Amino acid sequence: MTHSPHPDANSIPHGEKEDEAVGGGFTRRGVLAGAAAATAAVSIGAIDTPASAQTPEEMIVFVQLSAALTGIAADKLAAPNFAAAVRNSDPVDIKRDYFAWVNQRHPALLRRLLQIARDSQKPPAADPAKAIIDKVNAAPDTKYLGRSIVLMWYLGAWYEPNHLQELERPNPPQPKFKVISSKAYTQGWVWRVAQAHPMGFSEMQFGYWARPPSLLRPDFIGN
Amino acid sequence: MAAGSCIECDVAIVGAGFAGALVANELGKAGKEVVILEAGDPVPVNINDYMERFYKASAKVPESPYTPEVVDANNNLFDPSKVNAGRPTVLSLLAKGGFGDWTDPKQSYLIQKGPRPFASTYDRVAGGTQHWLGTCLRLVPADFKMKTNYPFLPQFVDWPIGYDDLNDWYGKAEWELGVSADVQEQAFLGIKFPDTYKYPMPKIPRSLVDAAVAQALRSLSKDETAFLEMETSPTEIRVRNLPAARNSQPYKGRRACAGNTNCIPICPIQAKYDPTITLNEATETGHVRIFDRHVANEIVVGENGRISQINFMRYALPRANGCVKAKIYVIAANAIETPRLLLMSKHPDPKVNGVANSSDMVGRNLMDHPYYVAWGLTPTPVYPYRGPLITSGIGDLCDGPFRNKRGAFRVDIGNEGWNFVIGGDPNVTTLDFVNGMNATTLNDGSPRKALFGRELVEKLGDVFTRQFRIGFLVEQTPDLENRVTLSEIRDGLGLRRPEISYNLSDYTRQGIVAAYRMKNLLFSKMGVKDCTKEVAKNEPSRFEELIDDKIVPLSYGGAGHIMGTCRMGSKKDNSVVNSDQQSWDHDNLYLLGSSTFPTGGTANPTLTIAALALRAAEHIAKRV
Repeated sequence: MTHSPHPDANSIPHGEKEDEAVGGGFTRRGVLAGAAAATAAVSIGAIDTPASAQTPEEMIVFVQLSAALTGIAADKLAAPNFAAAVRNSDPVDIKRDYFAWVNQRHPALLRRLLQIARDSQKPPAADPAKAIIDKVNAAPDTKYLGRSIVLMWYLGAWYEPNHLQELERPNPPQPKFKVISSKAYTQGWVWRVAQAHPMGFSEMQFGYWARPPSLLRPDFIGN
Repeated sequence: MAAGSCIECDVAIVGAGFAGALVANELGKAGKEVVILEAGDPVPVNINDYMERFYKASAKVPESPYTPEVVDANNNLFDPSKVNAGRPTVLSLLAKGGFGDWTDPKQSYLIQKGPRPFASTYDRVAGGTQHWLGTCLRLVPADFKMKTNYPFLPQFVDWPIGYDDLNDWYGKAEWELGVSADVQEQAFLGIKFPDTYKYPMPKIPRSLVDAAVAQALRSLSKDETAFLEMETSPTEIRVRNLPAARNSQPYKGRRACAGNTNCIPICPIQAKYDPTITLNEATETGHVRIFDRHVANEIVVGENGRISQINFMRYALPRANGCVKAKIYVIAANAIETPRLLLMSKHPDPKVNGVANSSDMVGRNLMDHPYYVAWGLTPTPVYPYRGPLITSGIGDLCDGPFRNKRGAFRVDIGNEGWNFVIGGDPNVTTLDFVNGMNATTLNDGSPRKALFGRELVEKLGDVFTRQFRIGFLVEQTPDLENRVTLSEIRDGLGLRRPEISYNLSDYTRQGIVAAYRMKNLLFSKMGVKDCTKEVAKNEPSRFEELIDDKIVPLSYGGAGHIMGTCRMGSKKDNSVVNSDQQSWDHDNLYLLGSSTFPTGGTANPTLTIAALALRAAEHIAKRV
């Protein structure tokens, strides 16, 4: 392999460095939805505005639902880029854009998904994420909207639930989707799962590609 | 504009791409008054205009950041007959009868007559081919002498100049664009550098994907590589870093590459050179003026065969027609738009079809590097989607005795996973595993997986870190019948659109066959699970070849390397320009760009375009 052009520790791509800093004494892997909700509550309480369409409680539940379906830990999902020093804020706040996007298109169905997430937190649920997934999968309408929401978090793009249903049939049409916004594209989770960065949006430094990502295993996986 | 009120200058240039920008800047620095007519939109004040368009595009095709729009709000292709300065798009290269039908003039700007599609595209915008990879290879010396080396192959011709004539100009071009490479590593297949020569910047580090390929090549045996018919030992087949106009350290006020993995279509930080940089330098000389949204539509021949003016149509408001008068005229559109303009212009002699065309070679010998791609999954992670799109390749197969019977090829190692080969990953793979589909062939269980939660993250993390793709740029013969002519179908300004006839010769197809065998060898050495999709029967680029007693369907894409349609030569009767890129027929007319390449080798044409442009600029500067 080629020698690193930046042999000193300062050259660790800062996306990865942040992860390490946050990781000190704080294990995020396996964070339970309940604990994450507490974090999210602080965040949402601090920045919520009267103009927003959802209540703070709905937003917490939306993040819990999204975490269960995407498999990404709730605290990371709500604020994928924040470092330890600002753990209780979410300056990017893509969750608000996503909530509004779904709420505008499928308000009633979204309420049903949120209720599923609420019900699944109640005792004696041993594995709330599994409970959410099972209930979402139980009916086609919740299942396909659940998939739309997952694709939105991963890709920053919107695939209509009806279209997803159509795509699963034999001889499907070409997939159609809409990039929600440039912000959504650059916040796509798929890039972090690939241990890379959105194409055209690198926050890393010259030469990083000659070395493997610093974490052998990503630590953002949720419950 | 009334007659007699033409814009006046020393040198008029059509086209603000690589060649036009470099010539304008050299002449501007020498104090010559230059006017550039650019068909497309101007250089944007802020590159973020382009980035915003790119981020929001559903199909992140090479054209996506640039104007005009490719698709409307409903994702339908714009009708090119309504576009002022239209251009081809990769979205109009699809099967007959549906979206992007390659033969449908309502979707395809190029009127494609076949029998096969010409698969490369271009932009018409100030800056020209900004969506290039940045690769800056020199041609190898043998590329200039195909006729001398293989006199029995009828299509090939020699260049009127050789590698040694261009050596210093290559160096100047490398310093102008800012190329990162290592002299020792690039000295192969006869490429020599002047003794004291250095590239302006150290080479770009290789990626983990490159390293995996390099590892596999170490165990190649003589038997396994016999099909290549190399003279040299298989240990000579090695991964080399690609010289690239991509900063490995700050250069000329631009940053070092941050590995955005987005060279095509656009580098967000301009660590990769593009001609808007030179255009800005040129206009700062105070002697260069760019007129955007001005489409040149006629080159006027005056007394003694000299060009007297160029007429244009301005579609920037207020619309107007006008003209430019100069001492010298340079046409630097591209290898489709340059012959189109020459053919649209009238020669006083009715026997001559268009300007500069007494040889009847204008528009002929259209070439590309047909691009064969394959993809699969590596056994262990190679971490694609990181670094520049391509950092290394295998260049040692660009020349050898096999060229007496088949096209050479150059190997590209992709750092972008399957992004480019399966129509827009990461979306395709993600959709497969979220929605129970199988476009990737990876979700082939019964029933197909439709995952949520932890299973989904783990599956995607596993697949995306092991995606691998490889590409082969194949040498194409210059063929007289592969040509650009004028269609009766018109564009938004009422000008006749380019009509393309195109095919692959047996020599070229055999180059693709050798590439296919090389792919199989590499994949088996690397333990790659081949996921290359068999191209559908109705895909226009599909063809079949008998390989080891089996019929194998193959296909090709475009490399974006449009070449050959105004070939240079040493004789007036079989070439369009001489080695100074000057028209044989019109003393004060120069044609620049890869349209003048007599043959195409396997190197991407940009560095040679730049070297020839700088060389011609010196010649022109002495005359005005």
